[in-house]
Amino acid sequence: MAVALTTASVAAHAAGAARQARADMAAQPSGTVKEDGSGLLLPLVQAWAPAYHRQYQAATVITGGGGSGVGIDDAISGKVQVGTSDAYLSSGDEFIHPDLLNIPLVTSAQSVIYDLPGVPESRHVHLSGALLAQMYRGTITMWNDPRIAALNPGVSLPVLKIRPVHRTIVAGDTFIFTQYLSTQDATWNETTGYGTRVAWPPNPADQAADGSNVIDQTCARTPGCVSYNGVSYLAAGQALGLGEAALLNAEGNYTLPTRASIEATASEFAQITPADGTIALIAGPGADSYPIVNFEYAIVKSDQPTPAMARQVRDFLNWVITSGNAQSFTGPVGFAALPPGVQQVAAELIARIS
Amino acid sequence: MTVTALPARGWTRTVRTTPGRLSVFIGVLLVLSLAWGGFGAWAVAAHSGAAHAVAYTNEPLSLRAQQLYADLADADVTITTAYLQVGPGSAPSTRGPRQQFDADLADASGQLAVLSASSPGPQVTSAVATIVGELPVYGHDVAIAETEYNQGVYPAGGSFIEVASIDAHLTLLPAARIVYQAENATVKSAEGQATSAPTVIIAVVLAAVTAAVLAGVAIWLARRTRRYLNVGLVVAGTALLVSGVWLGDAFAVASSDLSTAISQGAVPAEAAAQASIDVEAIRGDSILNLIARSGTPSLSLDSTAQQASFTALTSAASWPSSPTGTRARASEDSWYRSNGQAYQYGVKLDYAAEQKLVLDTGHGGLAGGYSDLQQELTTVRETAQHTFQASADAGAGAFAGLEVAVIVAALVMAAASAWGLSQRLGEYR
Repeated sequence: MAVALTTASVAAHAAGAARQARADMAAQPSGTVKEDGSGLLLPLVQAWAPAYHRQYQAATVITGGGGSGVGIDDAISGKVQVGTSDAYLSSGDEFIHPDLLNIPLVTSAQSVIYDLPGVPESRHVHLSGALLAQMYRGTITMWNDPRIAALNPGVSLPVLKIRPVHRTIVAGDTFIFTQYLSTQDATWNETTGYGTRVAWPPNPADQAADGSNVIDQTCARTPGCVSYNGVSYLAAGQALGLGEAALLNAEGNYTLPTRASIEATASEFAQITPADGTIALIAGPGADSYPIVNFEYAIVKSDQPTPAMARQVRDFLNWVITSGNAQSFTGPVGFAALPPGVQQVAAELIARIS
Repeated sequence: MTVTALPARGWTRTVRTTPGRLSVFIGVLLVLSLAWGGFGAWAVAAHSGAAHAVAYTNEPLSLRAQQLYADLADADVTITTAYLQVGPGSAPSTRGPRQQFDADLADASGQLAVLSASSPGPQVTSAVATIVGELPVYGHDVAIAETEYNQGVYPAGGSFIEVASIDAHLTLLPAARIVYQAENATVKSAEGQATSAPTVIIAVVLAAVTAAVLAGVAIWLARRTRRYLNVGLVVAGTALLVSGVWLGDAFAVASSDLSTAISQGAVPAEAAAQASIDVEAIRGDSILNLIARSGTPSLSLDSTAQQASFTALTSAASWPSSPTGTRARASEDSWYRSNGQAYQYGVKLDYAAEQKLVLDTGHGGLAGGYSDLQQELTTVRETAQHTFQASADAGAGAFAGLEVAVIVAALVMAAASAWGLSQRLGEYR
């Protein structure tokens, strides 16, 4: 990404991106592209792969999971052509690997889930970032704490210990969740902060679990659990009896991660998304915004080993940001399409793959 | 004064005659005089020009290039540390840092304008163009970061500060380093040209040959005519002696002064400037690592490389042994240890401790230590530059008037030789 992005060169890149995409799609995509990384994105990638192959039978996508950290590492090593991540590339990774691109693929969100026997699934418990920070810090230990009850009038909260569950691996999920807590709670910001891994506050009630499915399963067998997981695992979690919290947004409204709220959030940032795609959408403005929204990123080397491989990667990613963003794909996993302005940013980044 | 044109056929017989030989000697001395004047004047002009360029053009441009790097690095560190401290429950004023940031970029633009106008080589031209093209993008990202922070949207503000800082690290600062290295190389080339020996040696040889021919002609003439004093040849010889001694002395003085300027001025100044750049890079790395939140060792490794460069510079024999130079050398050890500690905090995910150490403006903190170290390096550099300027001025001044003097002497030599020998030639008609 060590490329001077003057206004003139951005315009030139846009024109070049469009030309490149037209040229690429004029011939049929072919070859194999390997992907791994984000667990949050995995269900959608697993839907994209066979659909892409059905449309272009000479083209195949091999998917994997492992977490955002794995996706970034494998893209760097060349083990996969496309590493996926819930978090944009850290400046540390960009510094040592300036040839890496982080390309927005789709808009996703993160749910806060809980296991509260007796609270109907339809009754979404209201939580705020400040309360969640205290729950993870262990300064609020019971679900029927007055501070939680104050946000949930009319909800019979059980007398149950709060059992937070967190990830230990390098995870984009942790990055966006802790970013949210850092913006809402000064003590959390000053003592723990945010990152793809953090030193979780010492809390005897806290437990670790890694992997999006494992998070759901761990929470489901831990009454009083609270945790964070991608919306793509919400249906599975709800099938296990987990509830979904409505979170307090910047305007003072409690929202769920619906397609409408995710789109509303992303649209607030679409016009300012920089040319390299790096932007945090956490705790954004907007009455209908949901506070934990993010772009899912493809981490890709701008210099591929061969022109053929570059072409295969461009073909797949161009398909993802267009056909792959259709409601038929994003709807079942609770995601939303990229806003048009961000789609253009993604197209221009894809055009740099050579 | 006339010189008779000799027919080609009778050339050999004519040269054996006294008038013939006198004519030849006049021709030879004319050629040697003009050669001495031409080459001597050229050598003086070349060395004088090089010395002047070192003192008044190349070294100042090198300083501007170093200032350019410092401006960009300081802008990045200033704005990033300012917004690192902004968050829920913490909103220190960013007005001062923003003013500092703007002042840094304004100064950088000024340096770029001067460097562009100095007819630089292709490497500098390309690097300057990169910086000029990228600065608006960088400024735009910072402006958006500010807007987001002001609206309380801290993560977006933070992501834009991160984008801006990586832009500085990957594009602006590497280009500024190229400008500095290229300008530094130009200074060294000019220093070499200003103190080079070959032209001086040729001038000395030419003067010796001319003197030998003058003496030989005078001795031959004395034997032939039994007149032991030819006024023309004496005047010519005197002109050669005066101009030759003056030229030799000027070269010696200039070379000595420039050598002093270089060894006691430019070398330690360049070392201090490079050390300052290394310190800026280490500081920038620690700030970027703080906002990276990834635990990757890349920035730590870069800091280690810069530290090795800094240590090599301050350990060299040419590093000033003044109290300030000694303090700078001693300060680096404790500052390195603190930097290493900051990276360890990051590895252990203790971001709070890392931030506290990195932003601490006290003497034990990284911000405070950085300020102290930069102040010491600035003092070392300015002291060395003062020494350089004084000696370089003296070296450049050693050639004052010499070019004209050599030309005048050569003309006097030519006229006097020709006149003196023509007087004898006239007696054979």
